[in-house]
Amino acid sequence: MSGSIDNLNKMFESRVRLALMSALVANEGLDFNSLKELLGASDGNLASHANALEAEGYIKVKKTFLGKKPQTTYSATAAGRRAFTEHVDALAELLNISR
Amino acid sequence: MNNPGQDLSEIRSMMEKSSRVLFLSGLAGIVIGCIALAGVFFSQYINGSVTPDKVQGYLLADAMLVLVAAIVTVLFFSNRMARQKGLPGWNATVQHLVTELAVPLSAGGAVCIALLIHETYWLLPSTMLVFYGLALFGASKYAVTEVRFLGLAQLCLGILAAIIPDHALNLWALGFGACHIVFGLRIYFAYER
Repeated sequence: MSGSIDNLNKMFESRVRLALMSALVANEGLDFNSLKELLGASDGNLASHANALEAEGYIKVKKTFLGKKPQTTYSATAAGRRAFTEHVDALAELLNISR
Repeated sequence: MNNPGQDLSEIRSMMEKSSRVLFLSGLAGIVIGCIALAGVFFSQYINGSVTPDKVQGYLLADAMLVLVAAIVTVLFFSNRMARQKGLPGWNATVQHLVTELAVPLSAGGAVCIALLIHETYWLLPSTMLVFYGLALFGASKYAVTEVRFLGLAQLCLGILAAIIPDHALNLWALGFGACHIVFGLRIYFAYER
């Protein structure tokens, strides 16, 4: 029974991180400003959570230039997608048990 | 620990919000349908009351007017709805949607101009319906599911219009008029009320 609670990923305990990962899994890639608007998060908040996910190897960061403006694009890695799917499965299982 | 049900519904809503354009307006659909029907009625009226040498010019002006009115309507209602609901305005998803629509629609527009030049008028309604249907079908992965069915309906009517050219204009009215109104009502009652 406790199996599925153990399967919950500590990385996704934060609301912002979970939302960030959800958005990236549903898209090929999203730029910093689109993400900021979607999550309603501040620059610093989004950047720190993105760094944490990058350090874990769950997301990739690509920096490019759009004309003269630097643009940061985030995308989910295969490992990140796997971790996210497992987390969602664990949540679903918990929901079934508690019903 | 967070409530797993709430977590799941937040995940779901974020995935939808980030990957689909959710501010297509049902009201816009209804208005466009009415504009299209008005255009068809007006074209019937033109056919009966203008001398034959002028009829083509009037019909073309009628068609252009309907097109411009439709585009203005979509922009107006979508913009209003995005602001009302606090949805993201111009982002990557909207760009995908616009590109997916623009490619088949430009191709269709070009073919329609070619048909006009060669005076193959009977194929115009069918061509418009088919390319519009393909555009909607392709764009539907970036919008609400109903768009897919609207696209399929336009495609079927377009093919039918090529098979029975005598009813091409009626089928066009059914596609651009009636289908838009039904689609608009469905979207309005499902998402806007």
